[in-house]
Amino acid sequence: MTSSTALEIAEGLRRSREYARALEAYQALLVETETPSAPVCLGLARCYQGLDADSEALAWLARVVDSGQDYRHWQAAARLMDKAVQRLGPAVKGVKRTARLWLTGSSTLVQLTPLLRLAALRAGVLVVVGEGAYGQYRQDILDPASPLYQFDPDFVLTLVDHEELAFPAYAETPDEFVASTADSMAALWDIVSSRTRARLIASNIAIPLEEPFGHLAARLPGTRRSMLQSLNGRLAALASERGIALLDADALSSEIGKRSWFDSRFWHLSKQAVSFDALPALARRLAALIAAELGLAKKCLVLDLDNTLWGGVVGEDGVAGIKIGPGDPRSEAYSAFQSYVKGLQAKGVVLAVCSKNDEAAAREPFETRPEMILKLEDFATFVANWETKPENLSHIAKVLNIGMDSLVFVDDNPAEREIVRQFAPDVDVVPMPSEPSDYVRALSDYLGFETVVFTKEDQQKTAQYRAKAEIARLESSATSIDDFHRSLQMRAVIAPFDDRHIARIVQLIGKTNQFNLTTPRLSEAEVRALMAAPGAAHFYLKLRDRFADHGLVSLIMGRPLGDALDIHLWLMSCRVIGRTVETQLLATMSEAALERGLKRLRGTFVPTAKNSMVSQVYPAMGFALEETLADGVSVWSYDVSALGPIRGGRMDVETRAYATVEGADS
Amino acid sequence: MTVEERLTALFQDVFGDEDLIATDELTAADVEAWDSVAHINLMFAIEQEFAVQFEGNQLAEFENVGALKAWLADRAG
Repeated sequence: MTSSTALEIAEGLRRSREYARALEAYQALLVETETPSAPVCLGLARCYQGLDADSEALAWLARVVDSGQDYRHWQAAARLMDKAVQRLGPAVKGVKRTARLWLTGSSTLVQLTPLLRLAALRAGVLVVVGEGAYGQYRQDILDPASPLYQFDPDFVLTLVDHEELAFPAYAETPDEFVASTADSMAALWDIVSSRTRARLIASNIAIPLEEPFGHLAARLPGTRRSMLQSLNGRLAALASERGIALLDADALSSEIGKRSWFDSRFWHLSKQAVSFDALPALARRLAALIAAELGLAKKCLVLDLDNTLWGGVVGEDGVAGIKIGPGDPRSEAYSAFQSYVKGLQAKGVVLAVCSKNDEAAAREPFETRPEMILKLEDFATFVANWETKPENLSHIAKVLNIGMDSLVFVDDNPAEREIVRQFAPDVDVVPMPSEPSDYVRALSDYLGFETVVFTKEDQQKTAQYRAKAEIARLESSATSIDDFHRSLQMRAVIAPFDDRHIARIVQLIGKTNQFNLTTPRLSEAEVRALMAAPGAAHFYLKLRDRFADHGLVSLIMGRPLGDALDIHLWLMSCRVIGRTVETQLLATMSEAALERGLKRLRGTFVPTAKNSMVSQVYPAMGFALEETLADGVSVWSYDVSALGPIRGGRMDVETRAYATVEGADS
Repeated sequence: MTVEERLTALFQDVFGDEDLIATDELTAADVEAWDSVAHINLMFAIEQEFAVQFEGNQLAEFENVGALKAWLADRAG
């Protein structure tokens, strides 16, 4: 029986409301493929919905996103999703964040909205989308009484297309054209930032295919194509200055193909600036940026070795027999893949090896084959043994002190991928193609590594995670915890928040889950407002030790409240847990309280699904319970005037009252 | 699958209604969810499914689904 007739049988059973039998028929189709097709995902979702199992239905609808980018199926899935979400109410499972999102732009957006909800669900975010009327983005932003501001969004997305700008085919003064257009767009962003707490995601301009000047256009600054290119450059700079996420619509339109991205018939018919064919891809990218803004970007790429990083099996073919390096097409394909992975590492993705091999054999190619582009020191941890991959993945997560849901698994072997999907369901598995030449594209199509900022810390991440593994060894050999801390030779810089570090500060606030007492997800504008509040105390801490420069790893913020300095934000990157950083920053806060003539430190713990590790931090530091509020929230108090400032950090501290010259502490 | 079956699957996707059957007599007025947004979605879906292209807003001019089927059959033939 062919799979298309098998699908028809399943669909027939479903239509006659025989959901249990239909489920079996659909499930029989699942064994045939790693990535089930959209009709199968939709069919399963409809069966589950028919059986009142809306959570299961939602899980299958989210998989439509992975099935391909067919508009009709996405749109159908989005409709079913709305029904399931409505019926489940607050009981929606598998969602990591919720967000309110306002979508505004210069063309028809009504079709994008449901797709965006679906793509966000796949990325772990349940979004409520509000949408501006067609073409009303200026009025939306300028009018303080507009629905945008009434909506109170967490995110504002602005999508502007080239038709709206209506650049002439040729301009005598292109610079003026470009500058005034860019400035007026940035002015709108600034208005949104000043009036809302929302984070902005703006798009650049997808440059149209048709160009009266043809290839000559590239040489003439006054042509439309050249002007739009300069405009995109200018928008990138303006967005970067403001810390605004930028959707590269022009790159995406090139990736999809401009012949498909632009559909003039539907533009004239209903002002669709982006064709239906391209809308799912656009929704996926936007959802990836939203997830990244919410701190859901994946942190670690876990790689298999044999037939993944090189051709052949090192244990059988020997180190000389594996395929890597120039001169042979298969070998070159693996080299290209290693290069791409190295690029991800440069962006701040942490790499790990998870291979079924003898450890010595697995390490040998890295040690003896100069063609290897990835080196042993590129991996934060290297696991080669005969345990199962799900077990090893959980070991890797533990060693690196990150959640399983921060891991992405790449393996050429479909059976290993399936085992990981089943037994380590929180790990994202990339469906790798069988042809190694296609590996790079498969990984670049995976959007979990999309990020919105790039900081100095990102560049040093592997070294930091490696240091953590080294320290785990040292820790077991030191005789006491004090010896251990001393042996690390830790040095900290503690200083108030400043412009130079604001991007990293906002990044940490967005993505720290475990050591985070109150978990507020603040935008840059909100952080700046809190910094400027009267009596505010705010400090970051940078840490280095003999193994690594960990960079900016912890933040604390307080404001006067009665006779107390109230700590409303306190978080720390998990890679420096157990290093007395928390004591050190609390000590700084206790001194700040005394300097302000305040008697107490006051701290709040707000429990989340991930921060149970800090539930006892305040009592451990000598704080007394002041009160317990709803939802497990507890308020703690430390009497600085009676007990004196807190002591106990085990590091040399350099304090700075103001920002230092660029690079002075690096 | 017959044209009616293909249209039925397509209508159910577009309108999110699993009870909807693309009978000859069906018109836009019979389907509650058939608004201007769904209309454009339907037009795009039919063009994809049957590899045809409507002229302008031709879809709105068919008297009922039967007329649409006849037009589709004409194209296929």
